[in-house]
Amino acid sequence: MSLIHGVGLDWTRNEVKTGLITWTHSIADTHKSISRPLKPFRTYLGIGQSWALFAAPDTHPNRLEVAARIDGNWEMVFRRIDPEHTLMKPQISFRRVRGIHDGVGNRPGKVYRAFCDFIAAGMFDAKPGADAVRIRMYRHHVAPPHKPPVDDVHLRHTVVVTREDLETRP
Amino acid sequence: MIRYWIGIWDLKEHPRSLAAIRICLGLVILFDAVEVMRRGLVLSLMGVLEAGGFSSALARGAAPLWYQVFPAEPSSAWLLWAAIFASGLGFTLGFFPRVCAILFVLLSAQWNQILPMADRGIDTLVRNAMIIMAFSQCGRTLSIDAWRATGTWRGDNEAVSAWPRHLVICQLVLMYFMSGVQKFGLYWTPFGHYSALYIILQDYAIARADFSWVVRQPFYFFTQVSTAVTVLWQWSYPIVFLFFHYRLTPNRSGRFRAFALKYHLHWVWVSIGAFFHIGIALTLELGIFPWAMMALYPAFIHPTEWRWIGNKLRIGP
Repeated sequence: MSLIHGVGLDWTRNEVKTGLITWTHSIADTHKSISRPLKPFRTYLGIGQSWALFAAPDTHPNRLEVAARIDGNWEMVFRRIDPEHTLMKPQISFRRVRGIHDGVGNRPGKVYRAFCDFIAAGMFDAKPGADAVRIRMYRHHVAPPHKPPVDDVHLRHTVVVTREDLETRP
Repeated sequence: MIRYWIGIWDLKEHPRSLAAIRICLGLVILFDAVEVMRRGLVLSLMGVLEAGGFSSALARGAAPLWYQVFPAEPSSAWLLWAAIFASGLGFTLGFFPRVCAILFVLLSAQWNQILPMADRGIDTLVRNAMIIMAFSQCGRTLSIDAWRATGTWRGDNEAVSAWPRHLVICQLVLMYFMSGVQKFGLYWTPFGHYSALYIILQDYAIARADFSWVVRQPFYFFTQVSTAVTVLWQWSYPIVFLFFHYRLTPNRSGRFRAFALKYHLHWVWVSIGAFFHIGIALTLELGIFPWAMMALYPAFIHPTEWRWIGNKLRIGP
């Protein structure tokens, strides 16, 4: 703020915030209006020039894990970056599938549910003794070395699929 | 100025660089399609929920054109996969490559509409490049079309328009530069101690292995240097245009021009890019991303430079 006051502008912090938001919204609206005639091309050709690749590294990444219930006990069968638990790794870690579980956001929908059913079906094939499969993610905090570590682990998007669920689902 | 501008886009050259892009990009497309099948994901990724796939496209309202034409059945997903594979194969082999490129773009865009969450930035880039290739004469050499027309794989050696290769270079420069200027996260800057690559390596969803050991020195320092180099390299990428301008006007004077031409300075940016992508391939599970990017790198090689490169690698005649 001192920089802004230094050039003779007596804006408050709130004025700067709201001004920035209004300004960026109007830029986005203008861009939308200008590019509207091109929408059919973008839709049917799937082209674009949006290249925000790793614009801000994710400091709260998810770690997917899958467990199968065998004789009443949950047994880990897959966990990302865990060489001991790699069942269905080729499917779960495929780049296109990663977008479905890692990009699920805060509200998993039908696509995530279908992904869980697919994983469960594969696990049931591999583990005939299992009667349920649990898919969930651990969201943890990554701090760079210059920052104090934060013990901030959240369990997210837990879905349990039973054998019966899969057999009775239309 | 106008004459110079028109001259750039009107240049003619041997089609071997365009053919190299065609073959490399085609192989990446084929590899990706084969991986989808090998991992048993055709139905999951191309099918709708009603047929056992992941896509909720039919529930979203307007169904993608593919599922307006074909029924919501597993066979439609397999048909889409087969069509994408066939267009990729035809493109790679140079069998009506322009038609195959257009077909691939349309089919891949349908796939995007069916399951947007499975469509990554690199798929958009591949479609962009394929559109350019569709308007190029990339099938004039090292192709079935060349063999059919002339009886030899080399084709007729006629010069073709160079603008598609230049446009691929423009696309790469734009992509790298925009990717750089949009890196707004503090961890890409000195304020965040250039720790972006360290944080990315700790992302369980994309890391290839456990990189928690990188926190130790000198490994952490190495990630900081790599972060700084990445940002600097991406921000400065448009300078490649200047080096190509020098190559087009070698007879003009200037010390920097002479220096850039003598030491082939554009290769510094291209080489850093290759290291960058190989580093990504070794440490992150981003699928075809590094390979599809490098498949476009033959655009940086003028057709007359292939023999020089071959000699350098001691594989040339």
